[in-house]
Amino acid sequence: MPAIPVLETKRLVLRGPEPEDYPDFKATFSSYRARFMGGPLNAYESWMLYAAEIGHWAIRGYGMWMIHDRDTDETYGMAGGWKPAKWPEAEIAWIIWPDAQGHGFALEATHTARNYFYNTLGWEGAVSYLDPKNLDSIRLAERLGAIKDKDAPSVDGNDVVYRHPSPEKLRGSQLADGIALEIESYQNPLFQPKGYAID
Amino acid sequence: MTVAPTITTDRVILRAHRASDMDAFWDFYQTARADFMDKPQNRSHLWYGVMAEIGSWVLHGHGGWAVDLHDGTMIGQVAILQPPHFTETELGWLLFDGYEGQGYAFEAADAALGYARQTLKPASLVSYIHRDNTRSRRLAERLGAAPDLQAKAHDDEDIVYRHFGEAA
Repeated sequence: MPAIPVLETKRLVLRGPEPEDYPDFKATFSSYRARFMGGPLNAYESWMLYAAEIGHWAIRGYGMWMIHDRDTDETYGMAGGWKPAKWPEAEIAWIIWPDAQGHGFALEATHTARNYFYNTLGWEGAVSYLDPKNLDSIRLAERLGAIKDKDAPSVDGNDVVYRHPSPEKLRGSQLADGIALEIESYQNPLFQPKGYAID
Repeated sequence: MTVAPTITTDRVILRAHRASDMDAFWDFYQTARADFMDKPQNRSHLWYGVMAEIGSWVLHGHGGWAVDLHDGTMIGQVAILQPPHFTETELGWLLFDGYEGQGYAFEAADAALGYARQTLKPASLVSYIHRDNTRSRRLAERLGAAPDLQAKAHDDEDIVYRHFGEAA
């Protein structure tokens, strides 16, 4: 099986899930933070999901990356592509550990992952399946330019489908510039986001 | 990324799982042959289970293998796994309908057992088998395992067959 690609951004390194990252994953997925992702999970469910995240790469050729700090290597969460059985379309998904929110890591990681899927793997589009109560993630989907698609099939009827802009729509667009600008703002150590932190 | 190593014996091949194995597993779990196993409730559960058996290779250096005949027909699975509720590392197996009685499961499980002994070397290796699953109990005995009545099982109805090592 080919190695999982490593993606780098100004602040982050995205690598495949590694055994030593499991405690961080388990801490978040066994907590209330995971309530919109089928959690909180027990020890077995958490183990199974983490192992399945790795298996997803083997079977689909893409999957979820672990988000690391470029300098310290500490983990902040996960972002990438996700398509288990019964998923109508390939999803772009993310989760940020509770302690790492408020720095724009999810935006920076997800934007980079989406570019990889569009530009390297040739995806023609993607969706995100979100819990309608998960307002922070809905906001992030909107900041990424995704729009609610009421006609698209959802996973189980309890989620809403946000459709990401197509590669053509994104390329060279005002939206793409806006996303880049917002990421740059977060990358500026002097930047203090107004309001409460969301990703 | 660590994947299941291919192991070839006289009549079977142990290989890494691929996406197309999923349908064969699903069909198997619909048959009475899976009555003594934890059956996935739906295709999503099955999917997570099989993906985890693949990902386990990266996390722990062991996991699931598909068992093929030399002509490429998939006939079952063997796996070395230790999810968190297992006290010890387990060697497990399943054989699809129509392939029993020819020693295929023995050959595949014995190959996995050899891999455990020579390469993985876990502190101990057991098989958790439902007490009414006489065919699998017989296979465990033919592999040289013996019931360990002192060992802890996560399921009260299971008998713990010990291949080697001692309970921690």
